[in-house]
Formats: sequence, C-alpha cells, structure tokens
Amino acid sequence: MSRCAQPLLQHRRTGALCAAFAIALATIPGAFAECSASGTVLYNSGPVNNAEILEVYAGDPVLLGKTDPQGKFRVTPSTVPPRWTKAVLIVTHPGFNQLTLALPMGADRCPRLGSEPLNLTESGGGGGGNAAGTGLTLFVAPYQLSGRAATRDVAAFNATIVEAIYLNVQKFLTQMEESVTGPLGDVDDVGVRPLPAAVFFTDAEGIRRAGSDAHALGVIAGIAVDRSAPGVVAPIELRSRFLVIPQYPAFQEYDFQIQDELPGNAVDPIALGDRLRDEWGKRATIALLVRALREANETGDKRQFRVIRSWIIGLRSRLGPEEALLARELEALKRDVETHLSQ
Amino acid sequence: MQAATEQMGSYEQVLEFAAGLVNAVRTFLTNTVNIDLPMWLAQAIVLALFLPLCYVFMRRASKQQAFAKRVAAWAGAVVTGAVSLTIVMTWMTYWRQPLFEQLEGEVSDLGANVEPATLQVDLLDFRGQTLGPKVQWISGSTHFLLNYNPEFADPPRLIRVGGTGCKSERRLRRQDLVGGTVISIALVCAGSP
Repeated sequence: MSRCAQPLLQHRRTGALCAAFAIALATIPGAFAECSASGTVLYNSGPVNNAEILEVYAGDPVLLGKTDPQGKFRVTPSTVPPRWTKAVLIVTHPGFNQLTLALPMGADRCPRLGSEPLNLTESGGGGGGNAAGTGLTLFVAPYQLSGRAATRDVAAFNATIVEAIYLNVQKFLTQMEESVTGPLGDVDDVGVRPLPAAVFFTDAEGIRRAGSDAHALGVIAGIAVDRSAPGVVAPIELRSRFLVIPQYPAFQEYDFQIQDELPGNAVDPIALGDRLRDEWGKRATIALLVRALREANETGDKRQFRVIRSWIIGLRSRLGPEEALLARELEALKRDVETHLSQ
Repeated sequence: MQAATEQMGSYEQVLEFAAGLVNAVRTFLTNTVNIDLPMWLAQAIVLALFLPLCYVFMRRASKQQAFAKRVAAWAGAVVTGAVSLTIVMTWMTYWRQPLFEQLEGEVSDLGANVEPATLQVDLLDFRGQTLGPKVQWISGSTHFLLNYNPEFADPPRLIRVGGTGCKSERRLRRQDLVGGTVISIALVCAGSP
C-alpha cells in the first residue's frame, strides 16, 4: 500500500506532499486529459468512406483515423500545445480538395469540433497517378462484404480489389492496343481508384450520380460473399456492377454484372488481377469507346472514327458466345460509326 | 481603455528603441566580422558594456567640479542606464509573456479570381530575411494560421503576403504576436483601385 493511502495523521509530511501533488495535478488544465472529436465527412450529402483525418502541429501531419462507410469518424486529437491558439485538422481523400479546419480549444486545451458535417469538394485535377477529372478513371465503390468476408479488414480488402481491377483492366487494354491500328486516347492514363462515396450495389441511380459527380469513365459497385466454414476455405464470390458513365445517343447500356470467384486466402493483387474475368477489360474498352465517340462526334474527325471502328472490331473478335449483352452494345456503336464514315 | 492602449504604445516604443539599438550592433557585427549573434546574446553584451559604463559615468558626475563636465557625465549615465534598464525590461516582458508560436491572419481585398491558398505568406526579421513560417490556409475562408519558432526577445518585424499581381506588407506589433489577435492584411492587387 502506498504511503499516500495511510492516515495523514501518521505521516503528516508525506500526506501533505501527496495532497499538494494531487491538487497540482487537478489544477493543471489538460495535464492528463484525453481529447476526443467525432464527426461526419460528406460529399454531396453522401458519406465519404476512408477519408483521412490528420492533425498538424510541429512537423508532418499525423494521421488520427479514417472515416467508416457511413462517413463517420471518432478520433483522439492531441491537446493544443502551449503558445498555440488553435488546432489544425485536415481531412483528405484522393479526388477531393483537402479540407483544412482551424479548431478553437476549450479550457482543457482540447480542440473543439462543431456538430456540423464536414463537406468535401471535388478536386479539379487528377491525383495519385490516376486521372480523375479527365474522365479516364474507373471508380470502385466499397464492396459490401458478407459471410465470413464480413470479418475481414474491409478497407484492406477493397484496396486490394481496386489494385486487382486496375491490373486486370490495364493488361486487357494493352493487349487490345497491340492488336488494333491506332490509339484510342491515352490508354495508359486509364486509372482505377476507390469511390469515396458509399453507394449501394442495388442503387443504379446513386452509382450513376456518384460517377457523374466524379467525372468518371465508369463506376463499379458490388458485393463480396465468403462461404467459408470454420476450417474450410471457400472461394470468395464477387458480384460486381459496372456502369459506363459517359453518355452517347447510340450507346444503349445494358445492366452488366460480372461474377468472379477469387481464392479465399489470396491477398496478392497481381494474382487476383489475373483471376478476374476478362469482362472487366472489355467493359472498360466499351466505356473508352463511348468516350472517344463523343469526342469524334464533336470534332467530326473521320480518322478517329476509323480508329474507333478498328477497336470495335478488335473487341468484337474477343467476345465469347455468352457475352451477348456486350456484343449488342458493340453492334449499336459500330452502326453509328459506319453511319458517320459513310457521310 | 484608450489611455491604457496609449500607455502600452509608448511602453512598446521604449522597447523598440532599445531593440533598434541592439539590432544596429548586430547588423554592424554581421557586416564587418560576419558574426550573427542571437538577440539575447547581443543584448547581454550591450548590457555588460553599458552597466559598468553607467556606473563610471555616475562616479564621474559625482566627482566632477566643472558644471559642463558634470552634465555630460550625468547625460552619459542616463543614456547607458536607460538602455540597460530597457534591455532588462524587454527580458522581463518576454519572460512573463513569451511570443506565441502560432499567428492567425486574415487577408481582405482579394482581387478578382485570387484564390487565398495561392498566396504566399512570409514572416520577416529585422534584416528583412524570412523566418520560414509554416502556413495553413483554412478551407472556405480568407484566414490562415501561421507557425514559426520565435526567438527570445527577437520578434518578427513584418508579415508579407504576395501572389500573382498582389502584394501587401504589415509591420507587426508585439500585441499581434502574443495570441488572441487576428492580423488583418488588406491585399493590394494590380488593377485594384
């Protein structure tokens, strides 16, 4: 038992010292206080998943936490240092402008964050090597996980899927580029990044709106189901919806879903990219074709129409008999190109 | 209230006078022997010279018989004593109320299409050299937070805001640097009236 706990009368001097120490601790504001701050990060009234919350004092910004799929966060910021008046909190997410906040502090020197949601705005240029803002980026909404997959690290799983889709799509586009007569824009610039807004797999209108807001080439949303049982690793079933965002009168889009089966224990994006179906690249090529057709239609450039036709023919030759929906979409585009070339 | 502010203003002017004198010594040393002394050290050297000088002047003043020499000795004692006292007052002031490491500012009169975040904000010392502050513009406003490492008794003298076609400077007072004040700077842009 410590001496502080013994009767003060027996150890007057020690007791007095302990009491003075306790009073000093209690009166030093914020000496051992743990601050907390919570809020919601939104974009166009929709929640922003995986946005990073950072605090900036001396030195580099420090990551405090990230938002969940509902856009909510709860972080424990540091107390505002002496001879500072305000805390600086930063909210960042790729594709959005950085939000910098100056937070006043309370008597405990903890930053005070209001109850208003924090609204992000879309950034004008691209970032992270991808090409958001130029219409060449495929955005992947966070996959909803169920079954045993629900116990996985959602953020890590979605990050791996984004990388796998990127590798799969780029591989297909490179193969296409080698087999056709001309370039269809800057295929190398086609990027894949996570869509910050959490949209539901079933909400086609929401997916399309989020894609238009992000000036996307396409938006992918889906669900992942893991049917593994304890001791038995089963493949993860990935069901994805891929919407082409650029619109063109001759392009009739069908509700296109891709079903993949991924190994339950695989985490390597390169291996997963190889396991994903070719439909990812095919659908991305159609999105690029629609985008290129819009541009060619505006400029009336016949040479570009001929390049588009060669890409359509090249893609058509790669379609299997079970890919009737893609074939129909391509046929409609081809007819439009032929019309322009015959004029 | 106004009287208190005026009193504060004259007190600051006295401190400014001593700081100006010491800074002149620092500039002289830098230009001649290329030694850059920190303000406190330069002040300590001046104090170490002036305090004995003051004592010598006072001794002379008490011993001198000739009136003119006595007045001159007293004048010397007063000047050296006043400078020494001001240095001590400066140290006391900065010890009691150190400068804040963070300043808050607001830029007004932005020209058309001038984004606040594109403007560069700088703090300058008495030589006009930058103190390399770290600046954070607050989203959706014309406010900024600026951080720097203040030196003891050596406050930044100027804040400068500039950008494409726009520029403005403001002299800083001590009360701007001790927290609780938003430094307001009106930007002057090319073409603005």
